[in-house]
Amino acid sequence: MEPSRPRRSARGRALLGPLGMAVVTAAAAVVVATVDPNEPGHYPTCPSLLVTGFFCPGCGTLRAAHALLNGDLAGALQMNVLAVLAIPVVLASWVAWLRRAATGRPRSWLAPWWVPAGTLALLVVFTVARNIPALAPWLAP
Amino acid sequence: MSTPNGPQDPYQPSGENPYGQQPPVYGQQPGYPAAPPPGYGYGTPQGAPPPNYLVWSIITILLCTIPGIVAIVFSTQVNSKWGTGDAAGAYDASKKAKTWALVGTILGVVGLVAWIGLTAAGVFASTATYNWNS
Repeated sequence: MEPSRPRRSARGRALLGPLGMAVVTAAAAVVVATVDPNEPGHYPTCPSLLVTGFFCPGCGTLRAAHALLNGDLAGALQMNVLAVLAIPVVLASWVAWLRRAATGRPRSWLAPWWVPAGTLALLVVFTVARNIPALAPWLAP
Repeated sequence: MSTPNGPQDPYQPSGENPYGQQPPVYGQQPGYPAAPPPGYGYGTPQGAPPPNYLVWSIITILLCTIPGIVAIVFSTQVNSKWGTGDAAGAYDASKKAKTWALVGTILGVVGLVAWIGLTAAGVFASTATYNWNS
């Protein structure tokens, strides 16, 4: 079938994005699961923490990922609540990306404006809250 | 983010006219006698909405914070402009969100590689063993 050939290769190329991302993520997961970020010297300290002394919203994500990959959900939540809660959202987004790439269908729906705006607000509040010493036991890494 | 199947699905397997069918216009209220033309006024525009790159922007924050935050601001604009019928503005904001997420990702990856390299070379020997519990 001559007409379907360029279309099929375009689909194949579209699939490279989500599948490539899965391969890179899986490789990173293997490293993070086996090389413990709690041991000093395994990974360099994040530059933004070293320079500013404040926890950014992403601080603790590496240790949370290590804990989660070793089955320690409580430990992961203690390191970065927001990063753990974001995992289902990121996974769902990846599945939607894979589906769009596989079927060739364009996006048909966009969330209301307060979804990204709320995400931004949540990140700002989380960043401030986890740097407040009284809240640190729950929110700081 | 999901693409539900249904009679309103703009996709057609023939591929001839993927944007021909109209999605429901959510902005249509009893007070409005007719749907406004696409791109002007209120109501969701016709056709495929632009990507807002929200998840990429959030991941960018882990690599390089400031461009990631700028990208999220543009992500918000994609959704708000699309929701008010400004399709051109939404596509413009989508392009800017992509640019900022890309800038953050490139800066973050380059910075990360340089940082690991410098640390391995012992440039930060006194600070590499940061005590997390202090």
